[in-house]
Amino acid sequence: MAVKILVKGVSISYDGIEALNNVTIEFMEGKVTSVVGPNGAGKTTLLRCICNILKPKIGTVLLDGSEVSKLSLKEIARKIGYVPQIHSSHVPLTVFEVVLLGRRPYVNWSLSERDLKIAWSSLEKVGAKHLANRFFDELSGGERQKVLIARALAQEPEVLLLDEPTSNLDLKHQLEILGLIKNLAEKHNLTVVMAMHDLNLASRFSDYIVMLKNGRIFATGTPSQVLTAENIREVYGVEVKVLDTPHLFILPLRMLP
Amino acid sequence: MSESGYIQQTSRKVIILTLLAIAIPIFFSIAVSVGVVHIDPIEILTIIFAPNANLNPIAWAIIWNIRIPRALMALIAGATLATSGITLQGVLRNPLVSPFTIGVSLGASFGAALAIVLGVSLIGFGPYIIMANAFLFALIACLIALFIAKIKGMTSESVILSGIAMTYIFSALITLLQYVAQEWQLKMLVHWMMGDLALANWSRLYLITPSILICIPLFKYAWDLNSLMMGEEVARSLGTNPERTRFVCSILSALAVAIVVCITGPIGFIGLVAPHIARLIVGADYRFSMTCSFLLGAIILLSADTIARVIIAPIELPVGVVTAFLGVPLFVYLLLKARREIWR
Repeated sequence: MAVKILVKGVSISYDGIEALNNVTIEFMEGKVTSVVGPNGAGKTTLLRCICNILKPKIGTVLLDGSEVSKLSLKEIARKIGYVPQIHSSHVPLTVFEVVLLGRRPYVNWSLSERDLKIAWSSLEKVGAKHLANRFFDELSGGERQKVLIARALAQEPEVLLLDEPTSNLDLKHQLEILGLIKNLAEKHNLTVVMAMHDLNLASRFSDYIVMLKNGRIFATGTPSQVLTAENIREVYGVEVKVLDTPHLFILPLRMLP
Repeated sequence: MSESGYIQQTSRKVIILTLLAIAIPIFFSIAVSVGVVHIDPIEILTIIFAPNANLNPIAWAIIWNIRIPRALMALIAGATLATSGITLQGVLRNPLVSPFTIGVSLGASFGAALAIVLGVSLIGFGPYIIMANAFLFALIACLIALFIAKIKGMTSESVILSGIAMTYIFSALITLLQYVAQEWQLKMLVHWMMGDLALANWSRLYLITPSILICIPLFKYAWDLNSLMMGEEVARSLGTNPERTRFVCSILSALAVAIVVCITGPIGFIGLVAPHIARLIVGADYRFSMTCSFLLGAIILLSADTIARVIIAPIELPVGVVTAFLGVPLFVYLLLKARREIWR
C-alpha cells in the first residue's frame, strides 16, 4: 500500500491564531480517510492545505513524493478535486455546465468531445445523469452534493477532498453519498480525504480516521483504534458509550463539565 | 439522451451569436444611409465602393468624414463598454456593477471639468486638453481604487467599495468646480458628462480603437469567470487564481473604459444592461455571454446613436437618453419573460 499524500510538519495560522500545529500525517492511496475533531480543530484548514488553497508557513505537503506548492494551480487541479462545504449561494448554470467546470484545468476555450464524454461519465458515476439539463439551483441538497462530486470527478483527480459531504443531508442521502464515495475510492483507486462531524458515519465508511484537537494530531488509525470512549472524551469533552455491534456505534451520553 | 442536450443548447447559442454578428453590418449600413442630409442610396454605394469617382463632394464628406467614423466609433465604444461591464460583473460577482463602478467615469468627468472650468490640464494640447485630462483622471481614479482594494486583498467588496469612494470624492470635486464655473462652462461640462458621439472623426476614431483591442485579452478569462460562479474556493481548486483574475480583469477593463470615456464622455447604461441582456439570451457561461455582450453593446449603441441623430432631426438627442429608452424595454421584457433569475 502506497502513501499518496504526505503532510510533513505543517503549521499554519490565521491572524496569529494557530490553526494547524506541526501536523505530520500520511494518507494512503485508494483509501478513504476521515478527519474528525471538534469545531475549530483544523479539519477544513488541513483540507485546504492539501490542495494548496492555503500555503503553510512551515512544513510541506507531498503528493506522490513531489511538493504540491511547487506545482502550478492547473497541475494541482488535474490531480486534486476539492468539494468545499460552503458554496456560492447562487449558481446560474445547468447541472451539465457545472460538471463541465471540472474540465477547466484542461481547456483553454472550447470543449472537445472528450471533455463532454468525461463530464457525462462523471455524472453517470454519481448516478445523476437524469439531472443533466436541470438548473443547479433547482436541485435538492442531496442532488447538489452529487453534482458537486461529479464536478470534482470531471477533473479526473487522483485525490478527492470533501469538506463535510453529508452536512445538511437527510439520513438516506447521507448513506447514499458516503456509499458512493467509498465505492469510487475502491473502483477507481481514488484517495479520499474528508472532514466529518458524524463519528458513526465516519467509522462506517472510512478505512482510516485522523482525530484532530486544537490543530494537532491527537490519534490516527483504523476507526476502532481511534474512536474509543477515552479519545472522544479527551477530544470532544463528551462522555460516550462505544458499542461494537458488528459496526462501531457511538452513543453520546452527556457533556463533561 | 447524453451530451446531445448540451450540444444542442450550444449550437443554439452559436446561431444567436452568428445572427448578432450578421446584424452589425446591417445596422452599420442603415446608420450610414440615414441622417439630416438625405443622400440617395445609389449615391451612397458609389461613394463607398468607388470613393475616387468624382461625385458630389458634400455627400462624399458627409459619408466618409462624418457618418462612417461616427458609426465605427459607436460600434467600438458600445462593444468596449459592454465587454468591460460583463467582465467586471463577473469578477466582482455583483449584478449592479457597471464599467463605471471603479470610479472611471467620475474621474474622467473631473478631468474634463478641470480642463473646461479652469483651463488646467496636466497633459495634452490644443483641442485635446479635455480628452487628455479626462483620460488622466480616469486612470488616477481607478488606480487609486484598485490600489486600496489590493491592500485589502482584492476581494470583490473591497474593489466595489473603494470604487464607490472614488466616485463620491470626484463627484464632490466636480460639484465644487460647477459651483465656480461660468454659465457657458457649466453648459459645456453638463453636455460632456452626458456623453455623445457627435464629435466623431477619423483622428478620434484612431484614438478610441485601442480600447477594443484591450478588451480582446479579457475573453481569455472566460473560464476563470465561469469557475468563480461556484465561489472562490471551488475556483481556486479548479486552477483559477481569484485575486489575479480580479486584478488583471479590473485593470484592463478600467483602461479600456477610460479610453472610451475620455473621447465620448460617460455613456451610461450600455455597460450595465448589455451584459444582463446577453445572459438572458445565451445563458451564464461567459464564453457565450461575453461574446454576446460584446456584439449587443455594439449594436445597441449604434442603433441608439442612429435614432438620436434622426428622430427629431436636425436636433440631436443625447445618446444616453436613447440607449435607456431603447434598452430598458428590451431588458424589462427579457427579465419578465426569463424562466429563471440569473442573479439573486
